[in-house]
Amino acid sequence: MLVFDEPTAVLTHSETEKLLELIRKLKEDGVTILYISHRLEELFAISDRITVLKDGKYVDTVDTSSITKEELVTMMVGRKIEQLFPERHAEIGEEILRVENLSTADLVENVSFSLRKGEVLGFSGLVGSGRTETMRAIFGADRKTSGKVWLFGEEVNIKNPKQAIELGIGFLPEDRKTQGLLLKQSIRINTTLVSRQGNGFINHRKEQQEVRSLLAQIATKYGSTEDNANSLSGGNQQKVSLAKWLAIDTKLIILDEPTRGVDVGAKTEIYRIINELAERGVGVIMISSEMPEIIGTCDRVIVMREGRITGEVTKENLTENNLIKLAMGV
Amino acid sequence: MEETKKGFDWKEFLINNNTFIILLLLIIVSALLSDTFLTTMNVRNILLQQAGPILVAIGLLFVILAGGIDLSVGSIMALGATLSAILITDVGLHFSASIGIAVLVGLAFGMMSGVLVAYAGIQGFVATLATMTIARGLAFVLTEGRPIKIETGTIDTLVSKTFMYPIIWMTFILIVVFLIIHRYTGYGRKVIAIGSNETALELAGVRTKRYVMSTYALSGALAALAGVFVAARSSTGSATVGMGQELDAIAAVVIGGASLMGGRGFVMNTVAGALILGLIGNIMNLMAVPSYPQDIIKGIIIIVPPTSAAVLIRPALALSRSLGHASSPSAYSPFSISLLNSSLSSSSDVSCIQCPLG
Repeated sequence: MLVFDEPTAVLTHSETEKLLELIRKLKEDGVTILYISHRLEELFAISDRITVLKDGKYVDTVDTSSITKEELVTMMVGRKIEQLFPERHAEIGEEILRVENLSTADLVENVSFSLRKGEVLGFSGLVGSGRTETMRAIFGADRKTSGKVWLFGEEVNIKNPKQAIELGIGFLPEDRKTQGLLLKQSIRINTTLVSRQGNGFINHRKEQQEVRSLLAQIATKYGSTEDNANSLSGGNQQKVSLAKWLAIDTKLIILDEPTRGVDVGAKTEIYRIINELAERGVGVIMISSEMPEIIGTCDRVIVMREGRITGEVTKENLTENNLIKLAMGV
Repeated sequence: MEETKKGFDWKEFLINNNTFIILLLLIIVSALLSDTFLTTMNVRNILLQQAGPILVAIGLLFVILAGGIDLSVGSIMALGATLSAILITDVGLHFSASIGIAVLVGLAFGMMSGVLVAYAGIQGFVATLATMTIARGLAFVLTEGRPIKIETGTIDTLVSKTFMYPIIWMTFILIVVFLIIHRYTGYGRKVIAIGSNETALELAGVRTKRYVMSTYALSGALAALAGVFVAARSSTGSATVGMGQELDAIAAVVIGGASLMGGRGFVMNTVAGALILGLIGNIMNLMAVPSYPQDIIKGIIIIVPPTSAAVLIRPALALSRSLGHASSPSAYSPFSISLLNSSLSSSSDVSCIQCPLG
């Protein structure tokens, strides 16, 4: 017996074809194959039976010939949304952000959308679908090759993050360790990273008080404000990374995978912060690869695939099934 | 975690202060070895001699804090020394104006390295190697290879007793100024932050490139001033001033416990590092040790603080690592597209998101 665990993840299309051919040959020679993959096409191409596991639990085993791709997807997602998403009472107001035909050199193509005051807009899609790249281009972290951006009805040409921040945009990067935090600097420095832009004198004691009250608001657990950021747990690291944006007056905040690698407690806290921001009238964009999370938090979800927007799902139609179909182009 | 808080943490104290402890030991040993060591004249000589190296090391510290390296400091010292000599002797400028111009030229040379590093993306080692070669060459061209004697009553004011040895108090003031900049200003914080994680700082709205450039400019200006100090002490402007000083400066910063990777280092520790190197030279001269063995001993001293720190830190590191593992991300999404595509993220996606700010 031979087990393959996501064998095609790093293979090109033609390499995948070769591998599948090889597996068919092995099968003919009488080798039993266990093939783990998220690529449904491959499962249908080589398997005789498919077993679906979900949340570490067995769902069902079916004959490949007796099931369609869509039925399989339904089997994979058929779950209730947990009650970890607090209710939100935000008023959705006027348009804050409008993006038209945004493209970048490497991936994003003709992306257009708009965001309103107090709205939580989700960006769904597979990893690598261009969601992060879109947001980085809007934030000025990457160059856009074409497209226009309006902020509060005024056209803006944001060339770097500094400009974006001055216009009231915040951006929580997806990887806190390499992009969000200075791991070997103090919690205090990390928390004030955005709010302290000046080159002048720093009052350490005043800063400590600011940091303490800010971190208390979002229930962060830490020893001392002078401890290094890497002394914190993942969830608390993420809270510090987020706190630096709460220290300033953002009108629009982009959260890229805000709950990746954090514990459930910190997740709930982050959802609460998102609600609070929206209730204050901040426009929130949330990129997330977690279906339940994006369904539980967002008013509206835009789905991307291979650098393009493939669809938009409103609150009423927000199901994992709908999102996955758009994300995978089924 | 809790047991480390009990009482006085002598290990941490030793790690944080090993530079000062070594300096103190060195002073005690030197005083025991030589009767002349603690005489006013010798102490004054040490201070006059080390003023320049201290300033160079502080300038270099800022470059290193931001994650760079500056090899050009020794050559810019020569440029400072020769330029001030020429401006006083051949051009006839007042010595204070000459010093000002020399420092500005040093700043310009530092800036040149800085622009190459920050905006052209050339490695600090390479860019400053070029600047180092150009500055030294220029110093030789300017002086045609001959030392220029500076008339008395001009630049030697910097070492005159009547003005209470300006070199010494100027250096003292500058140390305090940079101590404050390093610890109590937004500028100092940004320099440290750049060395710690430039990408994160840029995403937090800081135009990091101009700060990177500024550290090289600062280093160049301080190096030129250090060159002026050398010229003042000998009343001569020579193109051979500061030969190898870049290595002494790096050594001083390292002895001071700074990380060559950037993000960590302290002004007073660097000053102590420079003084340690100076004292070793001084005591061995007093003991009439020939210069070649001096270098061997210097080399050994350079490696003592980092080694002692490493030996002391290692158990602590191991502890924090095991703790780190225990708290590493355990709760990933139960079921999600990210999991569906978990393996995709390990290929091109992650790397292409991170590289543009590299």
